[in-house]
Amino acid sequence: MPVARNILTVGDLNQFVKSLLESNPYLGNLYVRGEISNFKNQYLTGHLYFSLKDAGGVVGAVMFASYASRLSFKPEDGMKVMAHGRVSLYPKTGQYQFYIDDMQPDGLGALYIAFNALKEKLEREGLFDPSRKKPIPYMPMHVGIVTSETGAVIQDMKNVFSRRFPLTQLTLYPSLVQGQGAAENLSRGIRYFNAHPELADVIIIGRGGGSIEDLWAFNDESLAREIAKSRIPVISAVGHETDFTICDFVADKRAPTPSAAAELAVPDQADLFANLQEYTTRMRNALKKSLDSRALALKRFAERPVLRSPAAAWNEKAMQLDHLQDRYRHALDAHMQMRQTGLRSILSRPVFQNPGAMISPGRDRLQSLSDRADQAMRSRISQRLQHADHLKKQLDALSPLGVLQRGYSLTTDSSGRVLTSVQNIRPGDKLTVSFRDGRAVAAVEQTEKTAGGKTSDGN
Amino acid sequence: MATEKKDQEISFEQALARIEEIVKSLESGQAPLEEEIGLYEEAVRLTELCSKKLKDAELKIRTLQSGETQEAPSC
Repeated sequence: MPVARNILTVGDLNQFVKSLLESNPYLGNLYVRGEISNFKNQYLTGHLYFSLKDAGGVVGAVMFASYASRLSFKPEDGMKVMAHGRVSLYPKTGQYQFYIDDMQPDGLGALYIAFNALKEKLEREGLFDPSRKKPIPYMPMHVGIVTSETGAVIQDMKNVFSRRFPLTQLTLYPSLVQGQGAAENLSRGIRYFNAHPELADVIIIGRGGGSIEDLWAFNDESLAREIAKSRIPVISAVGHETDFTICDFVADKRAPTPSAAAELAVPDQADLFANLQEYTTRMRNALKKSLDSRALALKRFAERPVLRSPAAAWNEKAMQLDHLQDRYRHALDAHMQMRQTGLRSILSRPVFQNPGAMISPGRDRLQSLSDRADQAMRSRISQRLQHADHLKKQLDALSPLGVLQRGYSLTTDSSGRVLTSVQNIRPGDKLTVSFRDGRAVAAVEQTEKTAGGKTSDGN
Repeated sequence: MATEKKDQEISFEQALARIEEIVKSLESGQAPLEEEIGLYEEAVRLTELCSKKLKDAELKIRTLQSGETQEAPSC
């Protein structure tokens, strides 16, 4: 028996071979061409298991769900494919396997490799950098479209523009979109709009769905550079949602389909109408708020007594006077009451009650003193009342109402100014004459100055 | 009227921008009342104009003819 020098467990062996395979740079990144057989789709996990075979042999292959979900075709038994991935070993079975991360139907193999090579190259140059992307204007009034003049694509886009934002002016640069000369034709379209920027606030370049060969013009390097160079933002819309072209990567925005590009390019008029409505509501609210606050200020101002009615200020003074009178009366009453109660309590003391004769002179004297005090107080109060009454009469005389009461009237012109002079009154003027109990509107027939009358210059 | 003539010439985007400006100005509540009412009237007029322009709009598309798309000899 050999010395147990290099005895490994099965697991160790598999791990060792696995690490050997994975450390080889060539096996870590390679393309394999072959035919699919034993295809199994694990629906639960989404991983794909199958074999790749050709006349020379068979190799097990795995494509994990995360990669499988990006496939643009449906793999099945018998299909010839070109797959990209790495080689490793599955320790549980000891089988080496091809771990696929991308796959295309064969026949496109060369295109597919060229696509990846160009993509990597331009990516390294920074042409796909998000920082290079120009923003798409919110409301482009001019849209340049580079696509085929015939076919459903332009028709679909027109429908979307009509529905969403018919104010946009479209200019179509008719271009070949596949085959010989298509890439060059598309590039000229981008150049054309850059030379006529008044025709395009944004450019849409695209075509409808097709095979990878049909879409190939959109993977052209010079077209990609033309798009990168465009001063006008470019939306790329090539094929269907699952189709990615170089154009899509380099454009400022990728739309999954041409119709979607039209949707991206312009706002929806329904939203615009809603915005206008909202603006109107906001303006009304703002204006209402403004009016309300001013109305409140005005109300506060108008509530000042002096403005509430012309007589208000006078009324208030009169009320103060009334109040003053009341206080005087009340003071008088209170004083009298106090006097009487005080007196009664003194008189009710026993010393005053019993030997009446003895204290009678004192009582009389007290009574007389008390009467005199009363007398003095009464006359003082009465004086004050008279004075108050006098003041009230004076106020009455000064009040405009008082004056009217006495038969005078007040004449104002049409703007409410009180007239104090015949000057400035013309025949035909309408004047308002206020009386104690109402007003009359009068028309002036004629005016004449009083001889020697002073015309005081009012206003 | 002069303002109507002015409105005819204003573009949809300009009108919309002006409306937005007025909304902000009214919401700030800085202007005298008379001016505010004037602004509001202007905005209402512009809103009607925008709505009308949108409603009346018919998509225009022009297909460039081959004569137009000829490139000048490259310089």
